[in-house]
Amino acid sequence: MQETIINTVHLALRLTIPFLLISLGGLFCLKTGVFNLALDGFALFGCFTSVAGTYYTGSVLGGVLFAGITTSLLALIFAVFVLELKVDAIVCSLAMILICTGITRYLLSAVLKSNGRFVLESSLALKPIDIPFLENIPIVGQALNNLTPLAYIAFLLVPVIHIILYKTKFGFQMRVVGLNEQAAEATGVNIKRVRYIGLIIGGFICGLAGAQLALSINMFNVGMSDGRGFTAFVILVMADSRPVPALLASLMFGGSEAAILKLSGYGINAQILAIIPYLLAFAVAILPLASKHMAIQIKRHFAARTYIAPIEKLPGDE
Amino acid sequence: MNQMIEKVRHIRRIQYLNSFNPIFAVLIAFLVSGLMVLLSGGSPIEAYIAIARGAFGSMSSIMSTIRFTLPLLLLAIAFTMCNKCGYFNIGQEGQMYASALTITWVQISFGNSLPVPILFLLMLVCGAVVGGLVSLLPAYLKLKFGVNEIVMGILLNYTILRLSDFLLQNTALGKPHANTSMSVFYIPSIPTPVLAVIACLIVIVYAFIEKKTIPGYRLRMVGSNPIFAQFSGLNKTKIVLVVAMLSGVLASLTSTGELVGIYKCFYYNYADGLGFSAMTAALIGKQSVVGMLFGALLLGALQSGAIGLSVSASASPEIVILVRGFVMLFGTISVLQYFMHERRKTKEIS
Repeated sequence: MQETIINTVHLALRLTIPFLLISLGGLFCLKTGVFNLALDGFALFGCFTSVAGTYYTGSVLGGVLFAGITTSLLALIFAVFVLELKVDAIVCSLAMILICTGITRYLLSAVLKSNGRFVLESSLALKPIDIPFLENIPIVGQALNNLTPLAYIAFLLVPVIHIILYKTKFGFQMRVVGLNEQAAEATGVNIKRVRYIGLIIGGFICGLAGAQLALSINMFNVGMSDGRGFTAFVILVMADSRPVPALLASLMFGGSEAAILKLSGYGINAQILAIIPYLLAFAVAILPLASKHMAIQIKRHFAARTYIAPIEKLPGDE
Repeated sequence: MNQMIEKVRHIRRIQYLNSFNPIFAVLIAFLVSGLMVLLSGGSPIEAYIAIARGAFGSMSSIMSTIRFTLPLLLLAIAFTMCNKCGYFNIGQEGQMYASALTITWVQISFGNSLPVPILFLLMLVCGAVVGGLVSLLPAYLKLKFGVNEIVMGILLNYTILRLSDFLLQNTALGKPHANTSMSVFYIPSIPTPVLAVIACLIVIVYAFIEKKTIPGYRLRMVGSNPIFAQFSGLNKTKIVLVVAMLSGVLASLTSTGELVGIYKCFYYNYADGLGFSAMTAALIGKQSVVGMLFGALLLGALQSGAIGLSVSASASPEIVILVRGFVMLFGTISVLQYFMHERRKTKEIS
């Protein structure tokens, strides 16, 4: 029994990492006020370039770095289109998703000469690392041990990003740019520069997410990001683009995916279980806003009886 | 006075130049994708010739181009009419799958008991109702709670896609003992020319309503100036909801046409990327009916040209998706206006 629980927690942690990394990458874009829906495309592109990089350099580290760098270049292109050419960010991100789908499929058959999927040698997989001192801690240590290096980097990134956002000058500039452009401009922040840097860092982290997705199973599959980018976007909306709540929300999604995998082992239909994460994302996207709506209505109900208070505006009423 | 005339002329000139913009976008897209082909060791000119031959080379290839153009055109209209009133509808694939499931259910429940024309009508109506309802959901959530409609729409697409996979494999909707997820075959059938005529009728009716009638005027008013619309006494919520529903109905009609007319059964994931393509067509066409017609024709030709490309083997047919992506990316920037604007800026400074 204990074994099963530890296994499930370990699996949940492993499945959390892509969500966590993508949402941390998206955080840099959303915090600076760029509505970047292309996270899914960036992650897919990272998957492909990590596999291609590993194949050509023959080392996993090379693949991971290659994925990070190429994805940040892609994010730079996105940034040029959105910030310089003033393209609508939503349309541009949808175009980016389409381009990422196309480019990965095309290069897969044109460069790697394979169709549908490309499998690396198993020696070129991103191997889990064994941390000796974790082994001695009961239960928690066993669940936390034997994750890939990128997983530990992802968990470390959460406090690091928290510190960058809330304790450094650059983080403050990022938050100001996202909250109020005019105020940022008035205080002399170079808005474009902050956004460029945010997008490029975000792209790099999305590339790492792709590397984790692809290299942990040492293969590339067409469309392997599988809508995770959109789930990560929902996570960000739910967490109000703060790193620590984003970690918790990603853990929730990773946990549900792990539970699904375990449950399908007990003879429950896998296809019906595959719907559950999306339904969860639905609930997560709707419930906070719906409950806020309810709260305001209740407030309004009581306010009408006692005194006339200034009440927030709802999106529905004009 | 002279200055004013000059200004009006300038704006006219920009508008005139802007109408050429999509052509430039398409050219740049072809150039960039050609560069990609060249870099990966293929020959772009051969590839494009193969695409052109696959799209317009023979009578049957022209037929196939038209066949791919029709759903794109209808979906582009469905997208545009939502966009005109300020609602970004991206859930067309979900609406199509939902109505496809519905018509499959109709086929199974009433396939043997009803005469064929009535069965077909029932399919149309049931599919339209379900498609409209599915389209209504994100619109309602957006207007009521302020939930982002794009995230909702994409999540809904994935959910319905997975649901259709489950239903096709595990219930009576699916064809028994099939290797892939596919449904039972439909009894009614429509020939492609009839589909084309119906699609053209829908396009003409839409163009007439949008340009010449009061509802069309209201729709444009809500989209281009919501505050003015509100003060003229229009109910924005109601108009957006109705338009979203109509858009869902149009998507479901497209789905019924595709399934009954062409595929004869419901394959899992048959409309993969159709919604995005339709959006691209609408963007290149600048949301005017004639423009969308050309946009849909271009994308349809690319899609049917991909088949020709897979035969000729000068480049892999996936290049078509890439071209589509670049067309969408470059279609959004107004290249000429950007340069004009820059020039005017420098003039003002000097």
